[in-house]
Amino acid sequence: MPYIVKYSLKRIILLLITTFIILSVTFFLVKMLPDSAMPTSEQAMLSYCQNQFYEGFFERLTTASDSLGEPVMVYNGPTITYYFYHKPIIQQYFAWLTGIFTKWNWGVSSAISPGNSAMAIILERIKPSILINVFAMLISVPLGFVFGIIAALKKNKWQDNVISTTIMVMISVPSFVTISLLMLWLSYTAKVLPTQWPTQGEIGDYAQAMVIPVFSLCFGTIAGFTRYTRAELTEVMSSEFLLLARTKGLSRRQCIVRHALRNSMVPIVPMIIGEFVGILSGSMILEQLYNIPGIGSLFVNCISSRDYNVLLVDMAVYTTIGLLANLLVDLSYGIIDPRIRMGAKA
Amino acid sequence: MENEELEYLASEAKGSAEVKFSAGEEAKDVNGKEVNSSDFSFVQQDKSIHDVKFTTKPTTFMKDAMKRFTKNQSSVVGGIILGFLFICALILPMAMTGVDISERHNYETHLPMKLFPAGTGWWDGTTKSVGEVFPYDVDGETGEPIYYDENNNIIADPDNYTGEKHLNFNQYATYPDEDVIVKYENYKAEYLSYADASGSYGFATITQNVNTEGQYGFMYNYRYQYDFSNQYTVSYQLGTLENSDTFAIPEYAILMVATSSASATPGTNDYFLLNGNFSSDYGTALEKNENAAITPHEEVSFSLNDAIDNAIKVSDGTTVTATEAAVLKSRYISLGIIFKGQEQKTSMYLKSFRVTGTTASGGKLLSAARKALNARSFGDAGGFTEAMTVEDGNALVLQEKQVDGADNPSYWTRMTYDRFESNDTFIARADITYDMYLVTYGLRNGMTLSQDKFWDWYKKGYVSWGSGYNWELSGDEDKAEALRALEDLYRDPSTFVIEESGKNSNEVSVTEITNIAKDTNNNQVVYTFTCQVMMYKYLGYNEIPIHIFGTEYQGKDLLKYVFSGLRTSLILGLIVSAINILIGVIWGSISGYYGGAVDITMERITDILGGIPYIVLMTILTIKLGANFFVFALSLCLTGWIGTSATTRSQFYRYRGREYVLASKTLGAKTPTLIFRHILPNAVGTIVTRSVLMIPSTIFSEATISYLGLGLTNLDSLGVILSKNQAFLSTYPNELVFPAIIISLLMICFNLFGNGLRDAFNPSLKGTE
Repeated sequence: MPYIVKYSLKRIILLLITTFIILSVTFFLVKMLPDSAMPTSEQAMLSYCQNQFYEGFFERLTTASDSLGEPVMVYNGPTITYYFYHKPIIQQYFAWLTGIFTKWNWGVSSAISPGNSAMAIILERIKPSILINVFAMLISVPLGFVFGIIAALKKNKWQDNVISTTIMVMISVPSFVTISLLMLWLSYTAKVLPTQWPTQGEIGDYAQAMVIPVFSLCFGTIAGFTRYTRAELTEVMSSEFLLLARTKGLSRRQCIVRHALRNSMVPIVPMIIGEFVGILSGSMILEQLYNIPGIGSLFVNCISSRDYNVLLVDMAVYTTIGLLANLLVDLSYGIIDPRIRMGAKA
Repeated sequence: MENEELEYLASEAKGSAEVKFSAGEEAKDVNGKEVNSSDFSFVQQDKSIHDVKFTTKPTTFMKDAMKRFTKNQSSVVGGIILGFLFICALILPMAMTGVDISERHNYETHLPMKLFPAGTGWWDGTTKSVGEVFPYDVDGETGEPIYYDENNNIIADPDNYTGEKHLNFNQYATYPDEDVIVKYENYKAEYLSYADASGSYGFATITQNVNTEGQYGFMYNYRYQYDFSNQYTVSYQLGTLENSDTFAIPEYAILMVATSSASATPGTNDYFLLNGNFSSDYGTALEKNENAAITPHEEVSFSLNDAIDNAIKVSDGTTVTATEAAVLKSRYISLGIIFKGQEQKTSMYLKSFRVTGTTASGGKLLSAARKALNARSFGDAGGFTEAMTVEDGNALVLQEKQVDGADNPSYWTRMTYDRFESNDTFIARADITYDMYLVTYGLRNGMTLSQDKFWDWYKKGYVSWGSGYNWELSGDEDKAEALRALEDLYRDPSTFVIEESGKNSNEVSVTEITNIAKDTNNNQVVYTFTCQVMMYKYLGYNEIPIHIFGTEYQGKDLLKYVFSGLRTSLILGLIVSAINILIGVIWGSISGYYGGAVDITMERITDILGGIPYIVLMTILTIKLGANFFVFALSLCLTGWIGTSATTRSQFYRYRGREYVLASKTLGAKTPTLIFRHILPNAVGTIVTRSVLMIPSTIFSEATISYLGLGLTNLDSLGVILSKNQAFLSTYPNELVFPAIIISLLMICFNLFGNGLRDAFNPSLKGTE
């Protein structure tokens, strides 16, 4: 078996184990939070309790029991009375695991959209999040690249100073300030863009609504790319092999395009992957402020409305994406640059 | 290197090679001056220098770093600004003793920024209200609009009027001041629906949706009692609309509704037609003519007195008798228009509709003559109530009112399926600049004051009233005497006088008593004083306060509030960073120094801990332990140290295998010595840089969590202030922009400063992340 496959497999297994442990710990932590919110209408509450009973989270008794604490719900039906109780957390945990591993069942929502499958909610809400992030990436990668290259080639000249200072400011200003100012400027004062994500509308409406979120996300990533590209390219430009290339008669242009740029790309490609995940999780505030129905605002809504089944899936998504990105970054280093031997001892 | 340069250097080398130095022989230097071998001697020849101490002091690592740091100008500037912010955060909240930010100030909310006196035009505590609807009247003879200032004087040149604040139409109506700038801008609104704004001059479109023959649609105004010893003339002007294609030509008549009281619901026998000049019961408005457009019909007039004598009952189509007519004239009468239902919808417009009384004295009409149908609405400002009374010589204009209150005497009643719109009206709007500080701290009407205040002022001799009893007050009698005195004032409020001492004192806020109410609760007499009050005195200030950055929604001074929030954030940042650095360094050292199984275990623990969303950890902690400062700090520490531990660990990995460490180990150095003496100092630069950069990142995390609504609830940090003021982004942007600038400045300076430190401590890293 080639070394790279062996190493990748090892990493993937490790990733699965880590994900599993993190989610398990989170499960117990979440269960320590105050009880999850119940649907408001009695009918919905009953069907939710029944569902939780069939999935193994609740105990359903026909007589009250003192040993199980306060009942979650007492249902006085026409023919029968049900008392619903929480099962012990450890039993709930195994019921949860069984549901996931046997039926890929992550539970149902109790407050955000009562009765609907948590996984379905996530899949619905992940679309705008990914859409915005992809657009932000498409814009910020080339821009960051261009600015970084300009800054590196014109090092210590005014172009570099202007770019570096701007980048400094862009990195420092918190994202909520950028979003607020963009909203103030473009939505409220100039009135050219909507003040929040439309609940329904044509493609054009969404395109307009996307300007501010994409812009504010780009702000940080362009800065990151520029800084990284500049640093990498500067380093490569001062290396010996480039001097050798010049001595052998290559023009400065040939040197930069054939040697410097290619070599500086090595750490930048993994960085793109890293940034993508970074802004995916960083758009929580943005989604909250701009009312975007994505997984970031869902996370906050879940906590404030105590919908823990959805919360767990949401966290699972974030955790998996984060760890997966880490893995991809590490693996891509080895694939792009053969000099790096993966898994080598430090 | 350029070619010329090379050649020059080569020739130099050649030249020097030719100069020969041998003892006693003369030689010349390049300038042709003679040089001798005795001019040269060896330095430190035959001296033993290996035991001599250096006279210069060796520079320390810190000094060297400091030297490099000071060379980095932007970092120094960042550091200075940072220091300034620190000092401001420490001193400002303490120095501004007169400003209270501990509780709400309900009267002082959302004040604009004020640094310069009002009228400067910028940063002067004024708010410009653009396009406020401005009430006006119409000159009966010329038809020109007439504007009034707050004293009801006619404004001669409205276009260039910059006088006092106009007072007719909003709640700040009672604070005239010379410093306020008012600027007019008139708009001619060409086509506006009646709901949009107030206006005159236009016409009302009446669209009648009855499309069944035999049905009626009608509309009529408020009922008045007329005095029929006078003569009244009804005049109206009608027209058909341009788009009359879709509508039938309306058949209409003048409708009269007569009831025994102004509010009684009319019965079927209370409707009459006043078809003064029609040959049949109903007249047609106009022949259908596309080109007629909206040119009105000629004005039609008829005598109301005569018309009532010949009125036709709608219920059975008979003409009223003389006795019935006499009864009708004593009743409350509404006038309006009735439509005969047709197969098609009908629509026409009404240019004017008014009742004029004629008398011998023939009073002149100033207003209302040309005013057609007023659709006045002032939104929530309470409506514009113009009491319409039918007096001799005045015209009663039947008004459409948007706000129809119980005491509002002029509005139309209509069938629900009729539409009434006011079109092509002239609306006056004004851009008005308010001095919000005078609005807030100036005179205010309708404030209620308790009796205790008045009694207190009376005792101090600030105010006086009454018939001059000789009060002899002591101990228990105080209360009884107070009641007697207050009763005295209640009986004759006109004797209330503010004495000279009271005017000079800041305690007496009242300027005028407008009403005194007397109430008996549980056998206790309670007087309530409704007054005009000088607000700044009422609120306990010696003079009108100035808020340089304004106030926020709770009335707290933004400057002090933001800097005290900054102080909270900085303290939080410092504490959390200190703890994180401590834990991180210890964890990272152990993990990095021992390596192997210890390292792998510890790494996995940090992996898992880092993987758990800290928002969940934080929520659990705040729920279990309460939402206070220390719990919040603790929750930021839970995962915050992981970064430091990773850095420390990698530094340990780098240095623990070095030869000097091995040497020290061989010489018998213990583990603590190795760690703290030999390896850790290498990481000092990185750790210092990290600690500096951790403060802003903690502040940033705290602000982020506050923004998500999950942070500190009872302590106002910078993030909490920002997230609270976010709600007023569209209405009061300065309240968000100011703290946003401060936090951005803080972040930029921290980053500049931190980067400078990193470059200074670790020059090889310069320019990278």
